Amino acid sequence: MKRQIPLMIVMILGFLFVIHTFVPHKISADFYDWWQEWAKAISPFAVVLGVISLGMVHGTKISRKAPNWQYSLVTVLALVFTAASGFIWGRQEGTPYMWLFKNVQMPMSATMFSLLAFYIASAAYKAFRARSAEATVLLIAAIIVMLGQVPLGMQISRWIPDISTWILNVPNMAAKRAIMIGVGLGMVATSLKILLGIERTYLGGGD
Amino acid sequence: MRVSHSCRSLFLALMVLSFLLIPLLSFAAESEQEYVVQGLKVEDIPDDDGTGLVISWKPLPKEKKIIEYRVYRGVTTDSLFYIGKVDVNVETGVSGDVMYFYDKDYNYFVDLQASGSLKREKQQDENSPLFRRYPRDINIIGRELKNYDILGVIPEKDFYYRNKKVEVENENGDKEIYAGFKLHHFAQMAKKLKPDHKYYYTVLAVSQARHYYPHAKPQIGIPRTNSPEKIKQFYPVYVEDKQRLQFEWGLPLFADDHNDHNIYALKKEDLQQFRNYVDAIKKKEANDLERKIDPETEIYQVDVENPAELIFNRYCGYPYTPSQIATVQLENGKVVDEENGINYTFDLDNIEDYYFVFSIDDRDGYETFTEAHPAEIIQSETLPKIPEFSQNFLYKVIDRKDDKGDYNRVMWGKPVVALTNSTYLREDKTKIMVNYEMYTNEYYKIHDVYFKVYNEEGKLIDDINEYYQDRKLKITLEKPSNRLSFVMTFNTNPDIQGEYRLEQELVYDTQSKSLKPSKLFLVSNGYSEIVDNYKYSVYKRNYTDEEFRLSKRVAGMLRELDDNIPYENAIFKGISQCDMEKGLYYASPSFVIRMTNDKKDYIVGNLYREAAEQTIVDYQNEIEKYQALIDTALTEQARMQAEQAIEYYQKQIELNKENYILKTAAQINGKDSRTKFLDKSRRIANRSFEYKLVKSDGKGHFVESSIFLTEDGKKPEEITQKFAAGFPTLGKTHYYPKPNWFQSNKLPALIATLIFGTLVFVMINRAKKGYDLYIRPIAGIEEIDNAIGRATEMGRPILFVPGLSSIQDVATLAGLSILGRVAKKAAEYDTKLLCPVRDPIVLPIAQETVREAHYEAGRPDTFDKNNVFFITTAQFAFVAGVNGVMIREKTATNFYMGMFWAEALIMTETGATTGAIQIAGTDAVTQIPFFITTCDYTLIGEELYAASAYLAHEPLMMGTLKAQDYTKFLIIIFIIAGTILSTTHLTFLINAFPEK
Repeated sequence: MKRQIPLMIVMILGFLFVIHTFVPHKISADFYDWWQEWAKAISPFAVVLGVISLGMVHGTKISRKAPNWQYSLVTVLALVFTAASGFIWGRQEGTPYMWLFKNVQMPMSATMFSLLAFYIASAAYKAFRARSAEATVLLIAAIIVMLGQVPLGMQISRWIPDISTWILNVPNMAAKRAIMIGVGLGMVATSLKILLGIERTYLGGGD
Repeated sequence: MRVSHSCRSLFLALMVLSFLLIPLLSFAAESEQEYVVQGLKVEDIPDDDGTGLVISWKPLPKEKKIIEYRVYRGVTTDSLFYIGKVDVNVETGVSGDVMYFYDKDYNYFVDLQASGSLKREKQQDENSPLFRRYPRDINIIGRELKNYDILGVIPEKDFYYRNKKVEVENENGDKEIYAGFKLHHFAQMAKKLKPDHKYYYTVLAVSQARHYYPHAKPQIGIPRTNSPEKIKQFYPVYVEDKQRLQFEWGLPLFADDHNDHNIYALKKEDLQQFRNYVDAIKKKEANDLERKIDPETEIYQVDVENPAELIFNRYCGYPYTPSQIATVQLENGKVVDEENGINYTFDLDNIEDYYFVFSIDDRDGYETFTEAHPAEIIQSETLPKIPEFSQNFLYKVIDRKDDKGDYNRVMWGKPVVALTNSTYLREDKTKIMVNYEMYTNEYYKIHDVYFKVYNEEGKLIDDINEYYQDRKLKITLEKPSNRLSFVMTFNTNPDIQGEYRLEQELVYDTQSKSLKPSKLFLVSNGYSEIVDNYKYSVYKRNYTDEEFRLSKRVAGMLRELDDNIPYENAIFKGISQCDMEKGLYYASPSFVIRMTNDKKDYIVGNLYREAAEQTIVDYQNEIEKYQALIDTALTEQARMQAEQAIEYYQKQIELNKENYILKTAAQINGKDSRTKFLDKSRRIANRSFEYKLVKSDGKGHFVESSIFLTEDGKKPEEITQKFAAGFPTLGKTHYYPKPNWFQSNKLPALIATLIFGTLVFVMINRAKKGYDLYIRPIAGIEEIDNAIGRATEMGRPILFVPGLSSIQDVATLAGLSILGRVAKKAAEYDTKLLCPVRDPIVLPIAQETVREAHYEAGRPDTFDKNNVFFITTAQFAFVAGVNGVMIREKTATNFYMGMFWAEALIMTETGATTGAIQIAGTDAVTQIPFFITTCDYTLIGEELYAASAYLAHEPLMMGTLKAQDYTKFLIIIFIIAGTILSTTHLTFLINAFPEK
């Protein structure tokens, strides 16, 4: 029963959503709106689960003085203070919560994001090393596409932007679409497996 | 130097504390009086119905770092409630010298989310009159009902079925029936100010540190009724050969209290007198206002007579009718409208001697006139024509397909194609790309568009058949040209009969240095027009409207309009009484169902049968009262008035007794059944529309169609005879949008899903029967076992990231499926598996998946719930957390399975630097290259979904994989067939698939 009831819920609601995709009737639209309200109601409970997990993981580390427990202490302190500042002073513009968001979280996130530029350069170096015929084709294509995006490309030859556009719109697009078709089918297949109860790992366990 | 753990923790704690204190330390207190808002003024909003005030004040300097100004209102100075705020950008401050806040129209008053009790405003002294928003306390709200015009927004179900019948004794001692509602039955209560009532306002500033400064001294404001706004655009046109006057005008901004649209004729010699009259009524309005302030002021009498003669009058009141045109047909120069008391004769030989004036009058009796304009005299042949739609119809109204019943579609004319832009493709300007756009309607399906291109000498240089309309043409020129002429025709289904073509030029523009499209000409059966000069307006009217309302005005090249008819889910009711003890707000239980066919009376339903019956008794009492008045009337006028009143009440009684809807409702026994019948009748009335189409240049040159009439007059199938009998014109002139049960453009998707589903079943059966289903080896999947083995050998943990998306994402589900397989293997090898999660909903599912895997492997003792843990929902903070885990835990194997965004590369590069073996799988096309570059193995797109099945090696799973392969094969066949057919100009196959 522990498995069958959730499975039944998944199957019934899953098929109802499939029907909703093809049925524009008001009854179908109302059902979808109703579900969305429920989905919104579930989210806050899930956040509580997340906070409990965070507390358990880091609480255990701190209490056991596990290696690097200081990081856990910082995490817990930051969690408590940020939450408390939000609860006490609110989240409007000008509150300590918003100050923390703007002056701590946003710059830190931006820092992480800016690392991407260096990693892309590193990844490009790895990808464009002409170790094989395929890699050489990739390197040439990449050079043309990059030149096609900047005025220098036009200065070298008026064909470079055209070739760049062609590479992006034809072989690149064809490959992307092929992947997307595969992804689409994979999604439908996975959904079908879940709806028919073939795939049950999401319920916890394979069978 | 090595730092001890305690030193390090102290340092970290200090760092955290410094972070926490910075925001607090930055909010230093300053002299409060410097922050009190100056120059607070409350003024009446002009041209309105006396329900609007504008509050203005001088903003504080930018240096004061004010983040918002909060506005408070009350009917006395000792209690003012927060009503709204004006936000300020602290960095830029306020650019103007004055800030404004408008308190007008119906806006938020109170709802269920309001505070339960009265709360004083923050950081104000004990004696402050400022309070936060109105609380949902009926003892406070109830007292305010007399000070505001309150509108209750009640969800339909609550109004019809959750009301409480209440009997209230009125001032005359008569009992009145009301419907009572608790506050939670209202979606919201909205308020509007009352004319001539006193309101007090104050404003306070809030600093960036959210410090609430003292408020300004409250100022009084009294909203006053004003005359309507003066309309500037008014275009009278006289169509000489048709003896018809046509008028078109602009719309005012504020129209809530407007009552009538009027048009007057004025002889030229009377112009000065008319201007004197307009001045006099303005003075009268000013005098009325002065008398409200000081009743001792002498009454100003308008002693000038309006010399203009009324020739047109149309009601435009609630629901406001934004009509912009009027037509007056003359019969031998005469215009007669007995109902509106119009009887005027023009001297048609001297029509140029007349001026025309448009006016709007409001419910308070004020009237505003436009300037007097002479009529432009034209012949009917210069008027626009609505292009013929088909042989039987000038235009057509249909129910839009594939919707939930909230659209009617109005279609007119034949397809139009217009050139929109051009670009030179060669430097020598001998090759150009021309962009075009097509406009058609559901009736005409465009197969081919033919473009004939002529150069400046009129020589045909290209003849293009656009059998697949990709909205661009490439044209090669012998030599650069400054002007190209295009003639465009169509091959459509159904065929366009007779002459029909569009003509447009591309002319060299010296500014943009390119060929720009000129005006678009339409030539059809001898008629020619510039398409861009006109607009189409769709007017509509339902059973509850007295007049037609403008639905939408669209550009002249458009050929259809989807008219939105939203489902109503709330009833709006005025609230003026309440019972504080019972906690009930009273609303009228009556509601308008529809107007009578002659548009003279309303058919009104009532929630309560007894109230409906009581209405008839009340009418009878009124008749008796007026009968007695007739007998004692001293003047002929009083007697006539009494007779008219008796006639009115008799008509009302007859209406209540004989009208089909009310009669049928009276015969229904059950309370809910009766209400349901009235509710559905009301819905039909509100959602059924008749339509008219107008084509106009916006300056009085317009042509107006008659009301659209169908041939068969069939009623919608879903409206049974029981309801349809109350609406005889339904399906004939009135259109009711039907909800559809199937979205026809998704038929290919449905067929494909069914084929795929069937293939899945067939393949599963084959697999179950023992057929060997060959599945292509996927390196990434085959290496999973080796990767786990490597971690085991090295004695280090495995990291598994199930993507960053939510559980709704199929990629996350696929990732969790793989997690189950990997966790089982890791449990068998007794290798620690770490699984950081970004979405809290995914967390318990991932924990349960890993726990089950441990049970399946026979190692429940090794399961540690804390190894599957939540980090954060913030994208880059999550990456930082995962990277930290990789570095600190020195993971030997990293799996990334699911949906990833920009963070993918940051994670995998870090993993690569730690020397871990990395296997990734994602369906995010943009992230696949990064995974391929930085990971040892990558599952591309569909391979992610196949991995779970591949690892399971079960017939059920393998069957679905095989079905996927066969479906891909089918798709390839369609792609090849579509390419070949399109190349040979056969587009039926690609047209069979929807574009989106």
